[in-house]
Amino acid sequence: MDTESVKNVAGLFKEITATTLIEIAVIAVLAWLAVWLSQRVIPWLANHLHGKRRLYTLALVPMLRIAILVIALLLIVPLIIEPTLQNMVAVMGAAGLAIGFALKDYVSSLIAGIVAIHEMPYRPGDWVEVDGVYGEVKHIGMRTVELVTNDDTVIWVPHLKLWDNLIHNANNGGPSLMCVAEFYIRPQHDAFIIRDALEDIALTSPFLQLAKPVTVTLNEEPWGTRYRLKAYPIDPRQQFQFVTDLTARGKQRLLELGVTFSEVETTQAH
Amino acid sequence: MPESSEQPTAWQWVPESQFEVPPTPTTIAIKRWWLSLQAKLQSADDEEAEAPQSSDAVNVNMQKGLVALDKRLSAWLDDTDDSSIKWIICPPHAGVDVIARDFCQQHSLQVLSPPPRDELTLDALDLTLGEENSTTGWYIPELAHGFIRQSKGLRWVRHFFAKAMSGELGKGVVICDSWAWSFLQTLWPTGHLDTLTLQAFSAQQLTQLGFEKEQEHLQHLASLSRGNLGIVSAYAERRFRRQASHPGAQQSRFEMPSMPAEATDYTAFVLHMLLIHQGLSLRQLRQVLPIISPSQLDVELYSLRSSGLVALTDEVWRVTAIGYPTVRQALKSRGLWLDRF
Repeated sequence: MDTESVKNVAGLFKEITATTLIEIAVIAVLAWLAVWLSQRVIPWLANHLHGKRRLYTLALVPMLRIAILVIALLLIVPLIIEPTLQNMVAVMGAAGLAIGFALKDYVSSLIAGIVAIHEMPYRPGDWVEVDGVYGEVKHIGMRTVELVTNDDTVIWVPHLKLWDNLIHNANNGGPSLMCVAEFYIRPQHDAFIIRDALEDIALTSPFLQLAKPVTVTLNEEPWGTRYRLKAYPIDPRQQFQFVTDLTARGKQRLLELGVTFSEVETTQAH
Repeated sequence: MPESSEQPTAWQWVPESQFEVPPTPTTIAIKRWWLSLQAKLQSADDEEAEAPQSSDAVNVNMQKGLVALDKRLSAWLDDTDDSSIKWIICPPHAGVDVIARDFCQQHSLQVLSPPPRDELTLDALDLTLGEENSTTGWYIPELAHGFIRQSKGLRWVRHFFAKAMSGELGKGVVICDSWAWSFLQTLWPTGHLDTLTLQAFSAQQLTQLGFEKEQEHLQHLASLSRGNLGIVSAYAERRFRRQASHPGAQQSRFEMPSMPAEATDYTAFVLHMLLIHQGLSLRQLRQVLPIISPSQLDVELYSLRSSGLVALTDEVWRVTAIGYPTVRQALKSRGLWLDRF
């Protein structure tokens, strides 16, 4: 009986010869080379572009990689297994059992990575916040997504987070990313003069994407008035400098207008 | 080379919306792309060279442009009941502004000049527009000089638009640089203004004006300059000067200045500010770009001047005619707000 089981299992697989091994190795190496090349050439090309063209080019990287891996898998599997329905069910069942016990999180991340490529909650070049970390998506790997924060810290977030975390995507694959510069002012002032001055601050910023609207909103707080100047930079990568420019020039202009800034800590306002 | 016989089709004044950029033949686009790629990899000496050909400096007679404008606006000028405003939009270096100013002076329109640029940000800004001259007709020699892109520098131009749109100023002509116009339209969006500009010059029309006869080069110049006569003239003149100073030497047919290798967003901002203001002094540049430190700004200007993209004339930095096509392309690739010429 035992001998028959061994024979059945062995029957799933084709005879592995040296030629088969070489073929598998060649396919694997070529696939790896193609992935490696795509991950270097496409970002290099994208970094010579700006705006939409850069983002769309970057988005090709994970898609191309998954296509290469699928093709490689389709070429390798028939070399090892006789691709009948019975055999495939048996192999997948065994693999599922092993994965379920030993590699659950790892495989979950891999699958989430595939889902991420399909649903695109983040793409290379997007600015996202996951689990309190905000940064630019630099690379989407098989298991993790690589973020680089404004402080140049690299953070690898497993795709697994996709299942049960909120993902905040600030530009969602496009070049438009709204920035907000906040100003906290004591309440004794003419709000319309301040609003007009802040709108002009945005209009005169070199970073401003002129095709997008500039808006100023305000609300009263116990300690004064909070102004929020909202506008879009030309490129999402300019967001921090844009806000710096708006804030610095906004402060200068508000001081010229004779307003007094509130001294309450901003964190208490939220 | 003298201009050829009268060709009425070469000088056409059209509404801004009807401006058409000359097409770029695919072969020329491929050659230009290939040479720009080569330029990145090789020194300038290795670029494609052509055998020198006989070529003369072209002295374009702008008088025909003036005659065409006069013809276009004569009915409007004679109509005393028509108190509308004509907006003449001028691409950089195209000479459209010169023609328009000559036209206004010829018809004795009153000059309505904006305050000096350095006064535009003063708290006590003089907003007088000379309304008393409205019966005789007026013109603004350059609206681009009526603002500075700084928080207090937009007041005069806003005031002017409000007065002009309300009809208080009466009949007049506003001459405005195309880049300034593009920016001002975001400030004061108006879709139905009576705009005029000189239609782009095609290769065929350039031949009529007396430029060299080689069609491929003219097509290249027409598409490179986007039909801008001033840019074509600058390239033709450079070629002529080089041939005169180095007779027999080979010249690259498609040679253009390139952006500095170390160009950043700041470089693009400097160029953009120079274009939308039609030139700025160093002090004014510092005023509109406080985000760039003064020393960094000096470095940017030096680098751009070395590349032949900007030049300092009468203490005002401007984008050069030769550098303009490169600058426009660089600003486009970085997603900056462009003119439509």
